[in-house]
Amino acid sequence: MRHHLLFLLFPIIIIAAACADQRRTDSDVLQVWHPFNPEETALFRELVRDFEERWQEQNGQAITVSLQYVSFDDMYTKLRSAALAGITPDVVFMDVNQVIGLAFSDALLRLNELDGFRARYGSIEAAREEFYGQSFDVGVVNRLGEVDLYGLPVQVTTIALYWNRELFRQKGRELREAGLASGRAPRTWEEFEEYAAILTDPERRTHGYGAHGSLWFNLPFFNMYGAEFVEYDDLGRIHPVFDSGNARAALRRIQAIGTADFEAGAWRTGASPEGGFINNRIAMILTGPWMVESFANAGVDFDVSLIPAPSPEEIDQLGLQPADPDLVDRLGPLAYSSSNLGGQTGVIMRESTRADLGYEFLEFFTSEEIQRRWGSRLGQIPVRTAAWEELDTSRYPFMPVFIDQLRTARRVPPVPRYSTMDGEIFTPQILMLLQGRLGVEEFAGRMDRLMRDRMLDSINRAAEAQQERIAGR
Amino acid sequence: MKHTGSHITLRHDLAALPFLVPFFAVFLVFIAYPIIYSLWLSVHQVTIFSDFYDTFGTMTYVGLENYARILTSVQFWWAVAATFIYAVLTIVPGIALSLFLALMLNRALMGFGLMRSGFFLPHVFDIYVVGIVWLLLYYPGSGLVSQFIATLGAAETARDGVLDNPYLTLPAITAAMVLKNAGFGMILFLVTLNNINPSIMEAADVDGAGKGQKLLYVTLPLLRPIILFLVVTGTVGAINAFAEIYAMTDDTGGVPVEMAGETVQSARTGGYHLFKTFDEGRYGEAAAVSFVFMLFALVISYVNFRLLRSSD
Repeated sequence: MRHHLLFLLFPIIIIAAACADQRRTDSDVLQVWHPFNPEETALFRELVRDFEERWQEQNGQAITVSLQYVSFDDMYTKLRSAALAGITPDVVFMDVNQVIGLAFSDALLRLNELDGFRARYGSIEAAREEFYGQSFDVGVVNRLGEVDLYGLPVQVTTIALYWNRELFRQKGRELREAGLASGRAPRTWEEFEEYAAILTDPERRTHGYGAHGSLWFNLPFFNMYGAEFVEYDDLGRIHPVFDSGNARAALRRIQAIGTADFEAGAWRTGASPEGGFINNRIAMILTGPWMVESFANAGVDFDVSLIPAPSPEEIDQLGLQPADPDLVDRLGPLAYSSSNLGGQTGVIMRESTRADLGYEFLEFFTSEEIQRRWGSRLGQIPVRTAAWEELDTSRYPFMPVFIDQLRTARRVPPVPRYSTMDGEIFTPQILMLLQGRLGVEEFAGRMDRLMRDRMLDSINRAAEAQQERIAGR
Repeated sequence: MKHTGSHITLRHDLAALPFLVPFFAVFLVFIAYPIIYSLWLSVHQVTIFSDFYDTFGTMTYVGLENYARILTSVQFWWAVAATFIYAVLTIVPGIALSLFLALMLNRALMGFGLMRSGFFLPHVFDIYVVGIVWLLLYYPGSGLVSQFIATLGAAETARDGVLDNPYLTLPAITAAMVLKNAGFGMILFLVTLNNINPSIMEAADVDGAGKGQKLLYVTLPLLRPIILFLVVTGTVGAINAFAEIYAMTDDTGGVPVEMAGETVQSARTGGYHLFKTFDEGRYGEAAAVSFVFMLFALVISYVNFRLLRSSD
């Protein structure tokens, strides 16, 4: 009988051991979660070894940076499980859209309160000067009216216009007859429509353009036409401000090119613009630098250019401003182009026992030298603008274009629940717009109402309750 | 030593106890506790300001507010309606196809064993993989199904793809699921058909019953337990349907449609609605949704059970 009881106790002991507090006590180990692909991870490991060596040289203390790969899609879920079990890592490289939500739920350390940050920069504004500003702003969060820095940009990306040189060549005569050059991409949306119409050939089953349906891929239009989604008041409450002339102009542009005959229906369920581009069926798409290798490996003869800009008339009419006025001299009207912003932000979890070390690691990774190495080896855009100079782009001919496009880009709307904003609010409406079941005016008005009803009202109510709770303490 | 009967029973019961402990431990930890915890969760609210490290400890008690919110939500009632449509479109054709296949293959002819295996095979495949395969078959314009639809003259539907048609999204998904699961129902029917006493059929022959009459008045009543089983599991399956919706709609829940002044997704069934609610961090509301759906499942299963038993 005693043996039976021992047999029964065994699983209980195992479960108890698994549930025991696993909080790391080794203060010389820095745990880092990242979503890098194998190529990025190989370089990341090299950089981590450099960091460990430098730390030992400078501080006489041996440390270990323990890397843990967590897939991009699973990062938030795993982090949440780890938080509930009290075993979160020290540093996390996470999607830019997840930072606000985590800052709101008090999961992250405020970097501007760390001694290392104060000694190096003094203020958030001073730090911003050294980074690519739009990407840096992702880590600056207004939580209950208090603005703090919760993360540093560690990876930045954007989208630009890919065009199929072969399809352009095939239609070279028609393009020239229409007064358009076959060796370059369109520069304004009017020109884009002319190109796309000529490049569409029902017999060859080719289309001039393939559109995406999600919010992120449509942000370039809203950024270009100066539309805002939300704004914060002094108390940190969030208000919808989408319904505007600028947003309507952006929607009209999306509608005009998304419902035209030259559009391949790539936004429909199951279809993809990238798939059509690889198969030489779609002549122009908007996508990011991560697709360069796939397209090149598939043998597609393509080039990358800046996303077309609004016409001079539209710029005047709407009073549009370029994201970077310095670009006007060099790029002309294309300086009024715009794009979106993606990538990763490096954050330190609130319960980290080595916040100082974590911060130094973030500084090391985002330093000019390391960012230049990272950019030159992987063809990625450095997050520190100083590293844009003297960057070796010989292996990545499209990188200068992406850097120019990034200069025109703007950050994603600062909403705490981006996935709700995209999947539940924006994307269903844009699909209805593209299907012709919703008008531009109706769309614009509805967005504000839906943002309020499905997201912002509950967030603002919770913010008020939280402020009352804090005041009552 | 003298033993009474009740002593022996008690000793027997006590001896059984250690053997029952593992089951009860697992039951308490993995079934009873989560159910009770979910019920507790359904009367609480998690906000975006809830402490990330102690989300469930910093929830606020809201009474029946979560239930009130979902019961007045257009999205929730559309999810109920979509689940009902999904259930009807999977259960009825699913049983009919399974029965048809079983009747066709219920004979000892060469090659029929291979066909039975062939029809059963899709049931073994992962539902997400099957969903992706069908997504390619339904691909706008060039997918096999789209090309077939084009030959029937529905060029516009073929060009846009059936999954992008609000009226066809759910039927397209359920058609894929019916074909996937028909093999399982077929096996159950085949087993029961093989167990029917031949003398019953002989008696029907003696009574002069034709093939149709034998099927209607002899075979079908004997298959009723299997039909009841398929209806109940189909109902639960419809309420839980998620992976196929996720895969075949690119995680959009289907093409949007207007419903009572709100935008809802055409294939947003109960399981998918629950996932999205949970995914957005609305844990209390998600728990309330799961309890309401559980109530529906119990009522529907009870009604099914009574209906199919009452005609015995």
